Amino acid sequence: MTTTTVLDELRSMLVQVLDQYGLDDVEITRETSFHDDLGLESIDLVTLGSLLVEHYGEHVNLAAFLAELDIDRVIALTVGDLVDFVIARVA
Amino acid sequence: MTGVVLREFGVTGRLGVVNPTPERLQRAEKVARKGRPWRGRDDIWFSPEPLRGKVVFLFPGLEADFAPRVEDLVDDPLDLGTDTLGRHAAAVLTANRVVDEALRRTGIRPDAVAGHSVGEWSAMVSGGLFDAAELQELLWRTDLDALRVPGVEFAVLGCPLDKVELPWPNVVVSHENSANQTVVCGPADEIAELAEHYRRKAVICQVLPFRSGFHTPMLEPYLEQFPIPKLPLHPARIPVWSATTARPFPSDEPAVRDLCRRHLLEPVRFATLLRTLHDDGFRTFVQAGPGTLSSLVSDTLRDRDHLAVAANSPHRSGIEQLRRVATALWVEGGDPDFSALDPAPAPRGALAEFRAVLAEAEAAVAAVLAAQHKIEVSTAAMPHLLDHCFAHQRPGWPDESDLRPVMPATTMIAHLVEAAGRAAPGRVVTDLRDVRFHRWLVAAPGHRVTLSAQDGRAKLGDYADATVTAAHRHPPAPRPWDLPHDERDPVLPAHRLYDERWLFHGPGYRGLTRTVAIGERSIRGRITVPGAPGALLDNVGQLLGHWLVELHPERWIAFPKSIDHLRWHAPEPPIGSTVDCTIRITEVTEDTVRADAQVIRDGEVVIAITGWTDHRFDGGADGGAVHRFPETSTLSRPTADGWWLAVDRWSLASREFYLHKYCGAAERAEYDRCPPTQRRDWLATRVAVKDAVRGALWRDGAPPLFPAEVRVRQHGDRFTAEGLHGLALPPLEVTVLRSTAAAVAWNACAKVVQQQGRDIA
Repeated sequence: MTTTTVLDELRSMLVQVLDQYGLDDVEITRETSFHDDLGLESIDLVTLGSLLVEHYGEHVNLAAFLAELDIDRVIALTVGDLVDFVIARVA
Repeated sequence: MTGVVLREFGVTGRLGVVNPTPERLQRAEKVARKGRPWRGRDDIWFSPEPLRGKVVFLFPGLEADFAPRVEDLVDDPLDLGTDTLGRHAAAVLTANRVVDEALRRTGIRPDAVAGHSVGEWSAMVSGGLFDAAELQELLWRTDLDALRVPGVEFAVLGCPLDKVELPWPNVVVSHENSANQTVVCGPADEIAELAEHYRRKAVICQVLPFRSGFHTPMLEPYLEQFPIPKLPLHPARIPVWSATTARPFPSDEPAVRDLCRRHLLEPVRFATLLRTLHDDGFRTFVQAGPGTLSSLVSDTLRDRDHLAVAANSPHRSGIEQLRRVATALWVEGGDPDFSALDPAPAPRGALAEFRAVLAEAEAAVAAVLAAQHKIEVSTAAMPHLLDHCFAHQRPGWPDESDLRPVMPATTMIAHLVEAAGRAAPGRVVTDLRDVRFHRWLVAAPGHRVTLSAQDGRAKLGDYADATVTAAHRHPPAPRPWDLPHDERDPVLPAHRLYDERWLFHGPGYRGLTRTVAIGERSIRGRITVPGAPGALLDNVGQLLGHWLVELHPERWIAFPKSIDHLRWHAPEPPIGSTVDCTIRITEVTEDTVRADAQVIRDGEVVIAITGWTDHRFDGGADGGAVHRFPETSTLSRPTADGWWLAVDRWSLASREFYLHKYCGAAERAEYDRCPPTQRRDWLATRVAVKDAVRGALWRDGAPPLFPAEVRVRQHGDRFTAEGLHGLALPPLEVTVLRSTAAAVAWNACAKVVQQQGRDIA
């Protein structure tokens, strides 16, 4: 699985999460930050977490990933970080 | 805040932008165009229609991150320390109270209040059940930390209550926070196991940094020392809802005290509370304090119409965040007091600068929104277009599209001017140049058309466009022209132009009250400005029409095609005022007529027009008659032996014109499905058949009959006709002969051969 594929897949999941805010046209790149750029709250990460499990299976466990991070890292989290995490778990 | 009531821009709803930047305005424009509610992201709020419904203040309780920003909302410093659980709770209550009071100063008042966990005490204060000072004093005297249940922890789970399984004997649910968040509480070792378990199941799980055992039965043994349920009670001023019962507090004192106690021992049912509030008509949920309560609201009510907004945020000052709440509520139809949010008295220069920025931002929003918006072109949105229908039909005709209501070229001009004016706030549109009318803008069926004004070019969809000049004032007026030397009295008085349908206009566009004089190359008339948009200029065109009717009766039907230059020297005269109009014809060809004109009020030129060009339609006298009185006129001619002969010499534009006089919606759809090469034949045949049918019926004494009332059907080589929309006709069979013998014309002959079962040929 390539980075590009995963990025595309994450992008469409994020659009699903964001669509409820009417934010379906935002540009999402590796550098996009969940907190600052997308304004995702912890509650949105829950939704994203279940989409990840649905799509990749239970070994792509956002909960476990986040549990290892301190709060500052969580705040600084980018889409690219998540892409790398997914690739590492799927590989 | 910059707010725009979008109705003025052809979009409904309200748009609010805090601290508008060019990027933000661009985004706001996109948001407004999508027409879907947008609530707060990037400091933009948009609502196509107000939420209405009641407002509830929700007071936060203890959260892991406590970062109140209330310093600018109060005069004196506050104690907001959180080093002990007791101090933390007291600080939350203080911050909540400050935000509550600031909201009310801004004219934002709740219809009810509620709270999350200890925030419920804030709600009780805000609603009047507790006295703020009495609660404060009690908290000072109480050692809340003594209430900690030893060894007990909270964990937040990222899943709904019904997905929570608790196979640990001492763990219980303490908070049903939102649709996707539940808090559990229990002994530290069991909570640690639970966290491991849920993370393995990919459920986000976070252990909270404070320990208490609140909202669980584990607190029971410690409750005796806890004085809050014993605090003096007062009558509520506004309804206080309990998160324990998800209902309003009871009114009798013992029941209130009992509920205070249960509140400490039973789970916080916040999600249920939110749903119940929504069911009860609450739509606006204001988080009246620091924290993230509003995201619990969004999570729980995500499929329902609502506004969740936080009145305090760690990211900006208290006033700045209140400005966002006020904007959000204003967008939903509220009326907050923005003056209360004005910056504190600032040096004069700075204040003036702030106002200038605000004014500039407002102009920028207006410009962005005016740059492009859609207008609804339909007879419902523009009833005046019913006074501008190209095809007469029987009174009460049910299909509006057969009437062909068309937006006059001059009404298109009015829209172009309006768009250009909005794009240039503070200036007036003085000139339109190279005005082009590309296509008929038909209003039935209704549709939306993009109106834009950018870079000096105004466009109404692909129907019309023009180059625009806007200036701070109107240019000086030229002298009215000298009177032409060859004038005479007109043959037709102005009213007969309408009565005899030389002009098809209804009351909204009828303004020619008198034609004063006519000459070989000129005409002068008097116009009483009618009410429809663009009607004044339309009457200039009508006066030109009068000149054609009298001087070129063989080809008098004409419609505007382009105008080289329109210049306004003063604001347009108001509806009902009287103006004079002089037209000088500059060129007449087979296909066009060109003219210059002056619109004069009280001896001053108000509008100067150069190069007004009309397209002239062919069709001869028959065409003119059908245009005026289709119910008694025919395009075909009867021959001696009972045939009706239609000869198509029409241009494409004219054919289109007669198509709408002759054919109803279903037949026009057939025409459209015809390959272009067969359309001439198709239409000439329909014309001949309809005229043959009407001719035969009229010979038998039938009343006037519109061509569209006769529906022609083709069955191979056979043609039949029947009545439409209530017209009863016997089944009629018609014979048709067609030829292309003449190179320039298409002939179709038709004859009614059978009626009521008998041959009549």
